[in-house]
Order: sequence, then C-alpha cells, then structure tokens
Amino acid sequence: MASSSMSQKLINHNPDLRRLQNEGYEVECRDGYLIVHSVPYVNASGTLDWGDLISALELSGEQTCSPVRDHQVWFTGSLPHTNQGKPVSGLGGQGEIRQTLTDGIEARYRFSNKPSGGYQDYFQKMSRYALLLSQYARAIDPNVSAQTFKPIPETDETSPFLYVDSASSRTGITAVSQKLAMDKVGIIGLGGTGSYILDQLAKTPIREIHLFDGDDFQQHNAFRAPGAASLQALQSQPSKVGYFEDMYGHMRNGLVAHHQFIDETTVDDLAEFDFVFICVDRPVVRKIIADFLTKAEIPFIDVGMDITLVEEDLTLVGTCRTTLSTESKSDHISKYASFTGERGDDLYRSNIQVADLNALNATLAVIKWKKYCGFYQDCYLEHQSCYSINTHQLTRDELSEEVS
Amino acid sequence: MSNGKSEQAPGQNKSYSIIVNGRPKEVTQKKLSYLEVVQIAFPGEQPSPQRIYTVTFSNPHGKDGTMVEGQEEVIKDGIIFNVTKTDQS
Repeated sequence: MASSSMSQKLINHNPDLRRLQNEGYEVECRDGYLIVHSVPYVNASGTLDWGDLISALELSGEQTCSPVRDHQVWFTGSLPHTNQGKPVSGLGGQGEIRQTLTDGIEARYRFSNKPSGGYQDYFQKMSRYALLLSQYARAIDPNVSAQTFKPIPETDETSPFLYVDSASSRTGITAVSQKLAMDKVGIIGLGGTGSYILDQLAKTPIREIHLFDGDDFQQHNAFRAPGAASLQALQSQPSKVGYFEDMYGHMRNGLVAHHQFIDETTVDDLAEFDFVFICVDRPVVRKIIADFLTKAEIPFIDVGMDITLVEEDLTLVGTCRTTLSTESKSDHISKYASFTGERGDDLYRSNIQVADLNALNATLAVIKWKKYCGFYQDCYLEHQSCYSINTHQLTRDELSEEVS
Repeated sequence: MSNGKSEQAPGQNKSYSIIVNGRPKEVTQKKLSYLEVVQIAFPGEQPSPQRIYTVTFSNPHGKDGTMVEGQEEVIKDGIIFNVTKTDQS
C-alpha cells in the first residue's frame, strides 16, 4: 500500500491530479490506482449514498500519461440511479462485479463512458464520472457534491517501492500480487542464479530482501548477472551484496546487504525469515542452512545446476534443479541435493554456468515460490523439478501427499 | 544425435542405443537402475551422500521422468538420460 506521502508526492507532481485535489475531490493514489472518494449518487431506493470511483493510474516515472488510454473506472457503491429512479445511462451497462482491487478496496461496478476524443487527462476523466453520478444526487439535495475538500486520512507506510507498481494495477492483479508481501526473505549466495532471483523478487512487494554473500562483484560476475554493470561500477570493486543493494535500491527500499557467508556461527541470523532461497555451491554450507531452516520450520528453495561439455560435438548438456522444502514436506531434500563434500574433490566438476540457464533456474525457483504464496495456481504441489536442456524436459516430483 | 537403430537384429542379443549426457551409448540390459545409469555417465563413481546425482530420462515418444536411488527404468531405443550433480549456482 502506498503511503499518503507517496500519494501526495504524485499529486503534487501532476497538474491533472493536483487540479482534482485543488477543486476539492478526495483524491488518493494507492497501489497504482487513482481513487476519488465519497462521490454522492442516488441508489436504487431513491436515496443518497456515497461511493468511490477508481481508475488504474498509468504513470511514466512519476508523470501521469496523457491522453488517458483507459477510459473505464471501477465503482465501490451500488448501481447509480437518476432522481427519477432509473439506472444512470451511459455507464456501459455491465452487471455487478465483486473485484478486490487492492487491500480494503472492493469494486462492485465497472463503468465505461467514453467521450468522443477520449480523456485528455485524469482530471477530465474522474471529474466527468463524478458529475455523471452526482448530478442526480444534487437534484435531490443541492448541498451534496463530490468536491468535499475533506482531508484524506493517513494510510500505512508499507510499500517497499519508490514508485507505484503500475504493472499490477493496470492489469487488475494488485490483490493477487499482495499475496507475495512477505516480511523477510533471504537470498543466500548472489552468484548467477541468486542474482537473477533477486532481479525477480525485487519487483514483488516483499518488505525486506536480505542478501548474503561474502564475495566481491568482479568482471566475470557481470556476465552472469542481470542488468549491465558499468566499467566504473566494476572499478570501484564493490562487494556483490553492495553492488546489488545499490542497483535495486533505484527501485525499492528494504534491501539488506550482509557481506558475509553463512556458516555455523551465523546461520541463526536466518531465524526470523519467512522464506529463504539457497543458491550456494558448497554442499557443507547447503547442509548447515537446510538443516537449520528445516528445524526452524522455515520454508526454502534450494537451486542448483550442472552443465558439462560434450567434447565430441562441442555442445553443452545439463540440468537445472529446483527443490522446495516446506513446513509440511522436507524429507526429500537429501535425495536431490548433495549435503557433504567440498568443491574440488570432484574429478568431473566443470563449473560451467551460462547466464540464460542461471536466469531460467532462478525463474523456476521464483515461480515455485509464487505458487507457495498462492499467487499462481498449483495443482500438483510438486516439491522437486528439473529442466534438462537437450531433451527440453521439465519434470515434477515429490508431489505433496494431499494430491498424490 | 542418435544413430537410430542398433545394427543388431532384435532378439536375444538385442542391444539398445541410448544417450547419456549427450553421448551415444549401447547397452544390453532391458532395465537400468539409478546406480547403473550413474556408472555409465561417470565410470568408477559411486553415488553417496557426498555425490547426489540428478537423473532425468526422456523417450522420444514415450514417458519422461526422473530416477532416484533404488529406482530403475525400462530401456528402449532412443532413451536419453541426463546425469548431473545440480549443485552450481
């Protein structure tokens, strides 16, 4: 939920929103929506009532888009009528809906009224809809108006974003996205896969994303990381966690960099986490973390890949693995991930990694996390999945007992 | 990648053309266990808690799946195995 200060910042920056507020409409920008509160209308029984008009708020940076491409609005009240007792015409005639747009806002109607030429800005759009409804209310009581000049109460400061997630609001999935708003998520290891996991998680409403890695961000890392690192950034020899904290700090708050590896002495730091992504390549470290999280009943996803060169035809083969452990199912982890041994004691170890497979492994992990959160439907509740490159194969195993 | 059919006629000495980690192999067993597939991929290695292998298999027109310790799979011509350690990130 955007704070009222964020809402006010947007209103101040945009002449059309400012004009709405200046002319007394109860304007609020929240979670990618523009809300005009307390619009009077006449209900089906012919008496006065009040409802909120809501529009998706399309922004470019912090500027509202003009003309407004989407001419429709939502309404939280009942079906508006005229003072003569007929439904107000020109609103599109769609039936009643029940759509939760975001926390605490449930739309009951969707209206469609498009003047020739469309709407030049949000002032024109919202004031026209307000007039369409309130003109009949004013016929009953000339003292009522949508232009109340009433101050908007404070809302909680909980959104991590520096600007509004208009991608969710434009498509009407803000309420679904809010299922992802965990308090504290950890990424252990900011290598190729971990950094792409961060790239995806940064765009979800998780409040705190904790990054753990003791390495520095070096030139070769830039070729297995999202975005495009500048030469200057590399020359400043940042830590990996510092580099990513800066990069994603352009977009959101709540990034917490821990310039350290996790070991027996620091694994307790994970005690309060809601979810952890394990993206390490040392089996002993994986075991320390997985054992701790399992005992603490903290769900986690462990990722890993292995790519090898087929010398005969100079191609690469390999597999990406995504393994989920939850409060209710954690006994399968040791079947799929090595828990002991060290790097280097393995004759066949190649350590080939390629950015697109890092990104794919990360994306598979994030999709699984989103299923765990209830964002995506999850029919099989698979806890183990592999993608094999040369067979174009995606597997599902360790289905939860509820469905098997 | 596969050279298709074995040159041997079907019968008692039937062998199967399979692919393991991108390389053509010939086997005569009608079934291969997890352990046997790992040893085709990495001769001399033994799975252990130190070495967990991710084994996927795929048939051009048949079933796909995975194998863990203790499981085996019916072998058909063209079956493709990938045996990897999936512990890089």
